[in-house]
Amino acid sequence: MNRKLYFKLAFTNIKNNRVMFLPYVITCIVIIALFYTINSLVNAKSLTSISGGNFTIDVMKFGSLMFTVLSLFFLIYTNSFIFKRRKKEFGLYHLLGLEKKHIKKLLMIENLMIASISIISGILVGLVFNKLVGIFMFGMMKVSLVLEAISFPAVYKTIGTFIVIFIIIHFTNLKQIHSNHVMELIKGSQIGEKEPKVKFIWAILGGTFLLAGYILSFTVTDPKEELSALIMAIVFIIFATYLLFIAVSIVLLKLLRKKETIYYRKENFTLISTMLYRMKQNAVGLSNITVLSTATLIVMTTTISLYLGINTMLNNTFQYDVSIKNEAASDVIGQQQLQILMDSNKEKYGVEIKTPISYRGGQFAADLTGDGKEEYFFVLPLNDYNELTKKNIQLEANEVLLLQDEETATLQAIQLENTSLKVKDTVNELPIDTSKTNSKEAHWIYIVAPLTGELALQLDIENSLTMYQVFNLQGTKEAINEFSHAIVNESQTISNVDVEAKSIYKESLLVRFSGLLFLGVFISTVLFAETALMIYYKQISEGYDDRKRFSIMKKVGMNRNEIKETIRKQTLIMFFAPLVVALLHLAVGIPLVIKIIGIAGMDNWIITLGSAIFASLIFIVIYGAVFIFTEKSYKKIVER
Amino acid sequence: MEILKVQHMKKVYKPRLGAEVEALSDINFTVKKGEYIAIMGESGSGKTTLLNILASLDGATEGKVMLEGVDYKHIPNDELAAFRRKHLGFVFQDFNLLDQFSLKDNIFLPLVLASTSVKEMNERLRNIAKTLEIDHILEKYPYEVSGGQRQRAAVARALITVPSLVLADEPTGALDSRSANELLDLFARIHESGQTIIMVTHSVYAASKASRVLFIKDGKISNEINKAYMEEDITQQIFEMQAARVASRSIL
Repeated sequence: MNRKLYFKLAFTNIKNNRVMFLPYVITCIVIIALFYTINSLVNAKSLTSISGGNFTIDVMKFGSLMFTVLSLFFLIYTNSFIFKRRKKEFGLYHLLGLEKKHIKKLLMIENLMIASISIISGILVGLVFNKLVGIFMFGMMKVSLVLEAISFPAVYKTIGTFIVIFIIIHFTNLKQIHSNHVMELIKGSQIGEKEPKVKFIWAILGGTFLLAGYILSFTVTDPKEELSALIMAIVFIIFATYLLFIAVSIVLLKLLRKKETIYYRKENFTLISTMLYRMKQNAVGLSNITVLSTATLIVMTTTISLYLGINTMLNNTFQYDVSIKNEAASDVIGQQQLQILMDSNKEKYGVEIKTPISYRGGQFAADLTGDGKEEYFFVLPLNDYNELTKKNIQLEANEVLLLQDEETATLQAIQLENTSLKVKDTVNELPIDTSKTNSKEAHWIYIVAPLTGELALQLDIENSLTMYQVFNLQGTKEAINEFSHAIVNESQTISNVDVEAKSIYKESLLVRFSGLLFLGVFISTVLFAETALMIYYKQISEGYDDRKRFSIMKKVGMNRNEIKETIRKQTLIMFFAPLVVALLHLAVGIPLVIKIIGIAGMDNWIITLGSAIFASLIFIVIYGAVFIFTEKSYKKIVER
Repeated sequence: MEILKVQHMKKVYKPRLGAEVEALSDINFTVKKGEYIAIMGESGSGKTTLLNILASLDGATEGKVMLEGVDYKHIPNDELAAFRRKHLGFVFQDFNLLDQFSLKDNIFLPLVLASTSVKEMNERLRNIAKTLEIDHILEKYPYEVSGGQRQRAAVARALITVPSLVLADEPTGALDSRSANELLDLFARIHESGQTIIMVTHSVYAASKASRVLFIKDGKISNEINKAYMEEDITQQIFEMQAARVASRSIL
């Protein structure tokens, strides 16, 4: 056959099947554009120059990998969907005398055309995307960086990856053509579908799984320790989702059908029977949509609340604007150097030091409570405590004071190896930096003990005392930030001294979580695009089947309004059942999300709840838009 | 008693491009209660258009179609479906049963649409199912039974509303000869019980079972054969009519 003819035929095929191909190509372009953007961020040299930039690059590298897997899975899925609808067309080619090898070649050329259009447009759109993402992301990170206009490594990687993906897609097509008999192709999807046979037990199992998954997700208190329980909960919920649509829905519909007074009513009759008939083909699709929607919602909630929770994390980690540690507490020279450095920079940037506190102390780890687990603890000398609080508390050699928290409130004594120390009292607050009590990773105990006491001797505290200085700053935001950078940089020359500043940490958090948020948005976009595509194809292919159905009903005496009403109810249920279940999953999952991001020090549940509501609203709006668009196309097909 | 009256009926299609097509021109006939009429004609002669208009699925361009004294033109659009449901029963060539329903539910469909009580539906079904010999397969689905059984279920669906008129479009077209004969016997029995039937068909044998045969050609009723008594064999006459038509065409 003539090559020109192949191209012409392929072009006409794509054009005539544009209802199927157009959404597919658009999705391809979006995925490729995002893939390019992610990889251009991976290769952005400017990112390496900022604090937290390397983290963002790592995040994007992970994103790139995830994208590759997701795109491969989704594009194969949608492609096979299109293929199924076109079976009849290929059968016709067979009848007209085209051999399998001709059809294979035709498919190859079609795929080649779609691949070239998608990859080229995808990269072009990606260039624009990249520019926008650069502006928005760096804006959110509050850094003044610019991305290169075009990243060639990213271009090469995008082209390479998607050529491989399209080749894999082509092979799946070849396999389909190969394994299908001519007559099967011609018949296409005309074979009568049997009513789903579902055992009651599967429905019960589905309900049990759902309950088990939900309960498990509630009982996980420490996601890091109980990782296996967490995974179990997720697996249970996913299985339950599939069973919910496959079995529970059918059992329910069958029960409804048995109730004659409900079933044999004008408004229920066709609805129940059609839903029942449709469920067999749709249950898995609806479950896929639900799982994807849930994933999208969770990713959005997590990344949004991490970004919005930066200040919470910051305040949990830093009680003071600057905290300085000098590991050699007796190093007078270092202490002097530090003072000079701070004084000169104070003048230079015009900031005031407020509420400065300095004290000595030591950090240790041992099992103090006798529960077999090691605790971290901080020892503050009694002298320093009395000086800071202007009190005069006396402690015996075997006595200590503790900072009160849930665990220490009831402690009568602490144990260090063989030494038992009496807890004389617990105090509500200490005049020092106690931010480590906010740590979710370990339990910190703050202890006040005399330097000459048994605890101090046991720990040999005299020789390991560290000097701490903490203070807040007053001045403009910029001045505080510049001052912080200056003292952190300049203090690096002084040995044993370590300076940490809240405003620098904030910069790094902004960069990290903005990067994460963007990856979250990218992944949500792809997951959502795929969800929308699945919904669209499902409705369209049902439209073709339903067309005949509705024409029969019209002849038997159903009027236009009744048909319209039935269509509307049917699409509404099919459309919003996954959304409702996904939102339910999200609602139940929120406590778990709060616990997981608590590990990162973000423990403000109001922000997480707000993020979840925000993510849900956005999702519902876009989902609704897809619904309106899909319903229109569906109606057009059915009423033609 | 006249049940259907068609007067000077005309149907013109206006395609978006090109000239008007006159599918039917000046059709006149009446059907008496209890008549069994076959309409014969070649593909494109207009017989399907005629059937669609009689079924109120399509409107006439000019003229009158009246069923039991009601002019189709005077029925508001949103009441057409209900009118169809009440007065007409349909049997199609490809059965047009819905796969999602069992045979029983397929038969119930028009009654459910008319909000009939479950008790009454069951009573009506019991009688019809027995006559049509489908009472043992009512719970089965269309794809689980034979073509003949499917068509009998479709007939049951047409009859269950007790319509004034049953319209059948090539009802034997998709059946093997044995099932076709059984169906024609069934139609004969239904006719005997007083049901008015109009059947469009290609088959001379099927047409010969009717009490009257109308021939339609180029949008007009060209000829008509009336049986003097029901058992009269008009096969020969139908053949002659068709032969004459072929001859007239070959002269042209």
